[in-house]
Amino acid sequence: MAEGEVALSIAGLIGYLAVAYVIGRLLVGVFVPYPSSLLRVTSPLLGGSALGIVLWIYGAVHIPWNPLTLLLPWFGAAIVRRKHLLRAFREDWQGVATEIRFLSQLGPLELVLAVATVVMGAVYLLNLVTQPVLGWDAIAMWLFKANLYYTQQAVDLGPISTDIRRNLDYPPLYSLMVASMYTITGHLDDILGKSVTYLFFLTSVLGFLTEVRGFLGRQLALTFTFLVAAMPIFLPAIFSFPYMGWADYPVATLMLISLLHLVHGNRTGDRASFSFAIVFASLAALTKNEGLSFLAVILIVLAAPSVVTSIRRKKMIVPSIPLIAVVLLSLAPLIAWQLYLKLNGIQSARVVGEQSVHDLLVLLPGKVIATVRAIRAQLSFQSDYPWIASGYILSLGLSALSRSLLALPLVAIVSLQAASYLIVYLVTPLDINYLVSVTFDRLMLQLAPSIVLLLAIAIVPYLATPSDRPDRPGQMSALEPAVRRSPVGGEVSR
Amino acid sequence: MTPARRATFLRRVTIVFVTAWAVRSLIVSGDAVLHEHMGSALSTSPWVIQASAGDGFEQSLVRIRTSIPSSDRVDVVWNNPPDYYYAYFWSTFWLFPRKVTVLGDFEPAQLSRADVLVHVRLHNAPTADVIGFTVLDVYTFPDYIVTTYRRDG
Repeated sequence: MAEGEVALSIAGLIGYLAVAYVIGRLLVGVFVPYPSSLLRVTSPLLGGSALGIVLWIYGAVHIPWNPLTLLLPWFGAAIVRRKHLLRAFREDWQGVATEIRFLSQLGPLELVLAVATVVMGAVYLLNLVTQPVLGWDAIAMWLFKANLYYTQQAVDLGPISTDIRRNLDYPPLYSLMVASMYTITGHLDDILGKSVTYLFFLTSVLGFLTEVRGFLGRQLALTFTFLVAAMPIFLPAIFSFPYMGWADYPVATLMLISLLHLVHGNRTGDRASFSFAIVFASLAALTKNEGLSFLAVILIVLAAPSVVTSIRRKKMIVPSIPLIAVVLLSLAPLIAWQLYLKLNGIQSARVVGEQSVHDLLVLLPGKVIATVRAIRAQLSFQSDYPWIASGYILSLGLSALSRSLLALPLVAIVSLQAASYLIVYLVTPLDINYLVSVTFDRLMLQLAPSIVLLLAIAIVPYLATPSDRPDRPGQMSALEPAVRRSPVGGEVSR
Repeated sequence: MTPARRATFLRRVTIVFVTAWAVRSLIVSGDAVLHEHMGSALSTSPWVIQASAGDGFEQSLVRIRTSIPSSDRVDVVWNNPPDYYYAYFWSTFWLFPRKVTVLGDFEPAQLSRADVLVHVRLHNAPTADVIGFTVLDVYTFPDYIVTTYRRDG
């Protein structure tokens, strides 16, 4: 029966989400005894990523990929940590019950947005498990690699090493997460496999709402969250089929969640948040190469206050051991991937080509004009681009006038990430019209959630009336002072 | 303008902008969702939908994958595909894990290594009579005719 097939697929996806949630809570509990709401809500994405990375390790040491080998160790860990896990489940259930009570206090517009968000989420779930696989990158790269990894039960690009158009240098995390869905369900189902994207949707929307409610009023928090959930630019990735099974939406949500943790750390002084900002940035870098520049920018922005302080005090600030451990653990899979590429002679796509710096500078004015023309050809007032651009410009203006210490790091990160995309356009040896036509929409998709967060932060210093204030008393006092503490922690060396 | 009035002005501008953005998103995305055929999505097997999505070549691959052994070596023969890489990537994906080669014509040296041939042609193109192979299936679509052949013996 067709209805049975669809119900089974939905059950399979829900089962995957449940497994990711349990593993995520287990992992978080090891490192953070009392995690924040944001960390609890975003932990399922850590769990889903862990499933993929474990498969990678299994492949390297020739452990078979099947439901037993993948889930049994976690089941054992859950038994050992059962008291902690049960406490975690009780905490999360209390959080859910609080949210349900919160729903009953919503005004009409807020209720419309909340209901619309839930309905959109349900439709996305249905479409991700039923819509056909048609997108170019899904068929040529992401889902093809998932099938390859699952079939050979290892991450081995050897059989396709001559297929350079499959972007062999792209990191394996998304394909491994799809393969983990195959492993858990016990069979290869391309249509169901792409539904792992739902984990990214759910985590990013819930994480965003959880965090912004700490500093925005109820109505504004829901309005911004609705944007993150339902902006039309996301529809091709989670509703209709063009980008289903592609990795741009996952990268966008990982970048957003990393920034949410950064904001949380700056707001509350919770140093674990900075560690998780790096973890999620590393996962973005393990998903697509655009995540590498994002990770670099995050590390620079996090380290900058400590470097400045070191220079001023003329003494070295030593990062805390836990932070060093987190950074190294986060970078380990990335380093392993780069080593794998080097050892197997797989080259990264050339951004710069054979041009010398002198040639690039000579060609730069012409490239700028060509790039602007190519981007202008993509712009349409019927698309989200004018709204995203306006949101970004408004955020810049608000942040510049308020000089908010919360907003400025985000302005730097989002601007530098956008600049890195622009630099690629300016130095690429490829035809710029072609490159912009096939990448602009997806790069904007990657930036869109971060720009919404940036605007949400930028408005905070201007919130003054009681209706704008957040629901929870005492939060406003956490806004500024925490920012001045060094995120790196540790003591000034003597 | 005093700082307080400026702050109030900027707050109002931002709230109006964000609200307008959200309403616009609700209208555009909501319209897409309302036009979604939820009933048919729930009552139709996803693989039935997949098998009728895309062009004739794509639809044929979804059917061929269930009709030939996974160890077969496959040659896809397509004289003038819209894009070579479209033929290559789609064949290798849907026929995975089979070894697939995409050819522009029937090449005897290459054919000697294949277990199955997939011939894609337009309606006005002649059928192929391939020595050493027997017709397995013919899939007719409005745009293409896709014929599969199995090696004799």
